[in-house]
Amino acid sequence: MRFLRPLVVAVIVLLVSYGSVCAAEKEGRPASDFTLRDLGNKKVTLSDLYGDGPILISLWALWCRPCLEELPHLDKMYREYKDRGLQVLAVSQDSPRSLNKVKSYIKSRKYALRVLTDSNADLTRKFKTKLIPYTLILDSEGDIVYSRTGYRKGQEKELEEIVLGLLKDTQEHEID
Amino acid sequence: MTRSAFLFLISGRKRVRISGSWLRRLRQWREAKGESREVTGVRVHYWVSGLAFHLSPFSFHPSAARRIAGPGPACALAAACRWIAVLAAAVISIALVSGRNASAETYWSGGNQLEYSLAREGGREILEDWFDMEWSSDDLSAGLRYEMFHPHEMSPDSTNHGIPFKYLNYSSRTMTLTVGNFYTLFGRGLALRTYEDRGIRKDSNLEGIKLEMTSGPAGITLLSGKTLNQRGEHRDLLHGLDINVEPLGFLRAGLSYLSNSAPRQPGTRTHELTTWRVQLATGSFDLYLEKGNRSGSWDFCSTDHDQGRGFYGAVSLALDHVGISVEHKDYRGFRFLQSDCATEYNLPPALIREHTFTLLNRHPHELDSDDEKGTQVEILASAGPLGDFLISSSKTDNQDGRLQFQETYFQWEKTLESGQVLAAVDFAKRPEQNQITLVGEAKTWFREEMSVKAQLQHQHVDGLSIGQYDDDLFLVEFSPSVDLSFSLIAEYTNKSELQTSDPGERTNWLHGIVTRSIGTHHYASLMYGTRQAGFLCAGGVCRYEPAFDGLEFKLFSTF
Repeated sequence: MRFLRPLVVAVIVLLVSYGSVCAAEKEGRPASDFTLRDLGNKKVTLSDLYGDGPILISLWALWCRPCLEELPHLDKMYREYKDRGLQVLAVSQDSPRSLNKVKSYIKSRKYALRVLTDSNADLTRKFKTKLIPYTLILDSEGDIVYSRTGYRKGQEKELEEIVLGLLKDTQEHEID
Repeated sequence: MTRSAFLFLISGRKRVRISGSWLRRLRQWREAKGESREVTGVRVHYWVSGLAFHLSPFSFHPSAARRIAGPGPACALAAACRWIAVLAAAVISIALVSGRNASAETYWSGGNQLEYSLAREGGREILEDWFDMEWSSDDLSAGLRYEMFHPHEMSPDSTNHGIPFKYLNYSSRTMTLTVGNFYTLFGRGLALRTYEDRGIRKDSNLEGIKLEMTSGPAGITLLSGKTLNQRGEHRDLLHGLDINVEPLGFLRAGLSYLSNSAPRQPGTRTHELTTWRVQLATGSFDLYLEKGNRSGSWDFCSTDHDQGRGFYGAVSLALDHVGISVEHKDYRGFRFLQSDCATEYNLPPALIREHTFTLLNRHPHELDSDDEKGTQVEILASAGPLGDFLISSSKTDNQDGRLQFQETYFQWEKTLESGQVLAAVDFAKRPEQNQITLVGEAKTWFREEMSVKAQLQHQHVDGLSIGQYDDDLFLVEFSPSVDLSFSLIAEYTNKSELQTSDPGERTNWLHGIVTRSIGTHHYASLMYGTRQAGFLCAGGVCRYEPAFDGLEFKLFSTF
């Protein structure tokens, strides 16, 4: 049994290494579709949003401080580029315990981005992540262009660059 | 469809009536694979112990299931369960054969979480890993989770590994069918909440079948399955029904019904729980009411009640720059227990603030849905240049009016040109102790991506039996870039100096943590040093984490 642990570690390292190779290919695949409710209790289906422009999805929660630090930047980005087709979905992972505070938090901060609630944490399982914030950028067809775990100040610039590259009129200018 | 998906579904020994096209496809696939054995039949496995169904709706053989799933009780289900099984078989068959798009692309995705620790004293090692993998194609997906505990952090004498979570899912716009393991939430958890939280090593997934259907303004969920009890057995059988209707855009109503039976427990009867709920949501006002009744008790559980009731009400109001949340709970004998007297199916809202600061989680209040009532009010205000304010106050009593927990928390936060400051104060009161906690934090950015954060937490505890003592925690974090950070956390307590009962007890702890994002799909952290014992809490459920002295490595990956 003594050699079992190194063996298991070796298998895990191999799997994770293989996963790293696969991760490079993750971008380009379609995002799993989902239907959740927004703060106005309306159903929002991801695939219904395709076609208008890039979609930024961020999984966050009230107990997650990096998430709360990222939200104002996402909101700013949404206000700046919504007319050019950007859609931002901030998906709250708060459990039923904190669900009632999500609306008051968002409204008190006057955020304009669209907030969805996922108190059963279906999206963290769909996207195979155990850490939040988890951010995804999809192109207008619904294919994953970028995904990232965590947030530190400065990373919003990277997001903005990717979003800019996907906005309709940016692409039209490049074609012109 | 890929071969692995076929393998997932097919095993052939018993001859059953199936269409010719199925056999042709299977033979072609086996021939292509180089197998010469005659294919005699198709069987869809359903993993609930003691329950299986075949593609032929009338060949229902619980005894066959015991061969597949190991020893288990004979299926004690009535017609409803059988029809769910038949329906599941039909849906999977239709999806696989007739409704499939031959050109549909298939995708693999996965994630891995590795945790390793090496204690300095005694050299005890713990290696734990969770490996998730999912295959998806169009409207079908299948996945599994491999878990390895060498040994388990919660029970150091137990080493195990296996695949406790596996599923097959068919999903369309109006219907989702899951066979295997799944998590579910009915309403806000008064009736049913099964979930996974690895931080507190909690996994209450159900193993069985779940069907969700929506049609216009109505939705229905049917489920049947078993969850692991605290003895690690799949013993009780749960059936559930949840109905949602939206007669108006802003009004939603729902009803949940659950019944739990323990076929192997002699002389017991079915336990039931019913809840109804109403939700009113407008742009700035939300009202949520949920009420439930529970019946049935286990004679051998000394703490179980014959009858129980639960109520949860919440109002959320958004004014200009101000958000107000008011919640009320009233739970009496409302734990919906399995026959092991310990595992609950429901987890109603606890109405206790979820804290992010370490010392505020040191003495948590754990929800007791058998005997609690209380209220929580939270007000958030954005005062522009003055910063953001948060006031939260909660009080929980027993049904006979004795105080269980009372807390008032005040937080002020302000974002500056090149930094952020935060101050918080918390007063908490329990029958046996009072405590006051102060938190101060400052964060500054030197360049675009370089930051330094300093945090100080001080807690004064005044306990009836443990006397008075203070705890101080200091944290400093340096991030030279967006994907790297170094933290140093020091803690000091005068508890053992003031209480002479255990003078040899440690008074200070110091540990460092390095975190690094490797690309965009891996996140690693390395901790070394000593860490004070404490509670990890999520959703009113807490886990005690003992003091640690050594090295700890964590790696999170998605791909």
